[in-house]
Amino acid sequence: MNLYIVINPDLCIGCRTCEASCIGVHKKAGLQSASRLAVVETKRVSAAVMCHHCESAPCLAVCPIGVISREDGVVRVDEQRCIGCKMCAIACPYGAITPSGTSVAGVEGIRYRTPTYSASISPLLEWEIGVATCAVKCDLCAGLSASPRCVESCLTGALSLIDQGDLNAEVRGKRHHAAEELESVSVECSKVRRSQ
Amino acid sequence: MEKHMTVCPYCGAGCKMNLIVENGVIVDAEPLDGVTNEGNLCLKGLSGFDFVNDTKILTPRILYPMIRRTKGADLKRVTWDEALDFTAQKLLEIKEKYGPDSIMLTGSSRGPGNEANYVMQKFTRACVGTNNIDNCARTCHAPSVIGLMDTIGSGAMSVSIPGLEEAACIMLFGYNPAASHPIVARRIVKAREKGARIIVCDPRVIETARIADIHIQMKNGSNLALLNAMAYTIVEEGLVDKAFVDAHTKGYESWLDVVMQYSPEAVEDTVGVSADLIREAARTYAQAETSIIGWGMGVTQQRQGVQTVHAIASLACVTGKIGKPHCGVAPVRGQNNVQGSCDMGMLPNLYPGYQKVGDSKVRAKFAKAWNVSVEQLSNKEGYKLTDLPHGVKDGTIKAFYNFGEDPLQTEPDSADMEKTLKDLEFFISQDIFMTQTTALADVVLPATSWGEHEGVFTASDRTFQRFTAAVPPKGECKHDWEIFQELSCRMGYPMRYRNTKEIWDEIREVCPQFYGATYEKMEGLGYAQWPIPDVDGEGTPDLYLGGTFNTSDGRALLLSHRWVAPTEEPDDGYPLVLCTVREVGHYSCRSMTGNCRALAQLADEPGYVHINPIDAESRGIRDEELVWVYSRRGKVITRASIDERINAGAVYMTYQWWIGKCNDLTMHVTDPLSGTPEDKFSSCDVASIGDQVWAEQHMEMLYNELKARLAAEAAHQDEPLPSYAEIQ
Repeated sequence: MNLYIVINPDLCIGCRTCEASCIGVHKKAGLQSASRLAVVETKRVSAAVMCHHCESAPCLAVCPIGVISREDGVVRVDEQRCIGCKMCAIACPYGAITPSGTSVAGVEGIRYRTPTYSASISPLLEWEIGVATCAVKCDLCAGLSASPRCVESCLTGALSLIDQGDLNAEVRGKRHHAAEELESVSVECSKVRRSQ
Repeated sequence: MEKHMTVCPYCGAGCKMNLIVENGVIVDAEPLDGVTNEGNLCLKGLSGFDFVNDTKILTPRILYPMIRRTKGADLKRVTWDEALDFTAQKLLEIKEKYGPDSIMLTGSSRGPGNEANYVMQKFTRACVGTNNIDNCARTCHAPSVIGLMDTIGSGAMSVSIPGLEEAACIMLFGYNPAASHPIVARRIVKAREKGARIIVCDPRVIETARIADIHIQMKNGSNLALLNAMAYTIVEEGLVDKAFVDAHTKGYESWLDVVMQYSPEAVEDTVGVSADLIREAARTYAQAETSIIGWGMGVTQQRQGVQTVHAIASLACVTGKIGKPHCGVAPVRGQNNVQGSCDMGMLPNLYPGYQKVGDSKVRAKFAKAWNVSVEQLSNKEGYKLTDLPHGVKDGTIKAFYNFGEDPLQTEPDSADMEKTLKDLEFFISQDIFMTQTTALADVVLPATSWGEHEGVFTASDRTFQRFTAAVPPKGECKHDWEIFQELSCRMGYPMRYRNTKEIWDEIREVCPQFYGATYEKMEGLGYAQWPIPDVDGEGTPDLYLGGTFNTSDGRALLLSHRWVAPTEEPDDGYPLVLCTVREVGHYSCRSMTGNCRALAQLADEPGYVHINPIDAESRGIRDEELVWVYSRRGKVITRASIDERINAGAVYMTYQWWIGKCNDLTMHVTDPLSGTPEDKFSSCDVASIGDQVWAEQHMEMLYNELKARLAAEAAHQDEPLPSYAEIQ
């Protein structure tokens, strides 16, 4: 069974409150502070993109040292032990894994970075002198917050946590709706069955 | 752990929240169930508290008073007594030598609150003896205040923020709530869910345009042509509410003369959309049961800002879309207390409560309340904030008292503004941060920050709400109102307030519209929405009910104007339109949000120039690359964001960045009626940079140099105070 967060793009206003709350909760826990979801805007769609905690998670399958694991349906990375090979980021079909590290160029306020690459290159190719990166991805705030912080903080309710139970009910509803359309099931019977 | 109730210090939505304090440090924020935010906070509210803790990410807080004993000398840390004596003496000398009108002051529409602003304008008018006081509304919604007072009588939203949800039609004109007020954008999404029709008039595909029924993707700078064509459609298709026009307005015939010259077919080229679309939008607006027009800087920061506001108010009046609940006009204010600064009379022509400076009865009332003779109160309208550069050039303004603003970042043509501030004979800056502006000051007065003091803010929809202190003042910071009061005492006009409640009660006495807003009523989650003349009730969510306007005869004045092309149109040398916009995760000059960890991580220097893929490709620019943007005023380095939501031929820069600073490029041309700069339209070009690694390092160097310079200025406050013997 996999749990994941879905977004309704019609409700998303692209405000990035989800990203800010993601940064906040992980920073406080001493994990990498990079946002684990990304608000993507195209001409017609605004949506937060993040990990789907896939049943056959490719990231978990390719990890050469086994630091990606599944705990209670959540696919997580052990940031302390990750070697920064970026295989998982390449394998992820959603682009939901970002390499990130802690800069050695100083803490906030006095940091003096020396960029050695153009920012237009892929994040997978970025590197900073002396910085070891690790894979950073959504952990559904397991152990950090009662429910994912992005879902809690979304202003318009565009984000919601879906589990198998919700999905089953939704799929059952859709099937019965389709059957009604075909007039193969009486509407009354269908309603009774859907309510179960 | 302690929790302290406050109101968010960022946009004008007025969100109630708790600050969570551990060991004297603010560590978190949580939303409260306030009237406008209903238990929600956007990213700035949730993550925007740590600037109070002096994180020094962008620039340090100022904690001790400093002065330059002679012009151009280094800043020196001094005692409060010395700083205030020095300031009072200098101001008195300038007043003596050049007259009171040579001194200009600006209020703060941000953290200080209404009481501090009231005391500052009282100091300006009763002690200095001038009306030279203004606030940053000049750069944003001044045209709305002026235009609405001309037509319908009150320079504020006529509807409330919660009421937006109940409207049957919402038209957004030059307003991107998702970036400037996410909490208001949430109301619009909810209105849509309840079945409201949404019309968006904007050159970009803004967030709301995605869910709109009609998106008029107009050309930049064509506002008045579009509004006139909508008015034409309403007249031609018989959608005028004749009964409302007859009973509650005047000037219909002359209004008609102008609009009848603008058929939608005739303006297709100017506006850049089909006549059918304009007609459909006009019909949708006029035929809905209740309609609200919301607008922002896209209307006001234009050459014809005030005239466009006249056109909007007139459109609402001729269709009868004002004067009933959830139906009217909504200029949503950008700063948390910019409505409040206007309420408190931080305007060169108005006393607190929108009472006119030129009215002798008003002056007599204030003279009595303030215990001065009527002759001591100037009857002359003061200078506007945007008059400062030429006022200094022609020698009429000698001293400037800056209170919690950063004009060097927020005003157009920064190079000119820097020269202006340097040419002043005496320059005082009272702030919480060492900003680029404060770094030039002769006197630096450290004030308490939001989170360290209490008071009342006015949200954009006229809602007064109280906020409280969460942590004690840092260093030797004093409350803003205490600083003005002590200065006033030294300059011969004593004030003796003991707390903000005493100030607020005086405000209620002199402003009948605010009388019912008592501190007791605003306890906890309580609020009061002006006009509130009586102590009973919570005030007035909707203005002008029944069609009674706040003009002298109770009727709205219909006004229409011809469209005029923008001042600086693109040409071969500068082929792109430059429009300045807002960053969702940062606020105003960025001194506050830039010092917050999560917000600084989400978006940092040099910011972005948003450019259409076609314009980017023809210049060989790739996404996320650094580029040069240049205009007739200057040249800056910034990052390109290739964005298909942007119309071709225009680029958009957010005004929060200190390195990628769009105001190095904008020009100082203002709407003559309001003095508001034409920030939404100037011409520029963008050029790619070949060596991106060099460019990245160059940008980093510029940023670090700027931060180091400001930190060095602030470091003078860490020097030891001279001993008593040395002072003698």
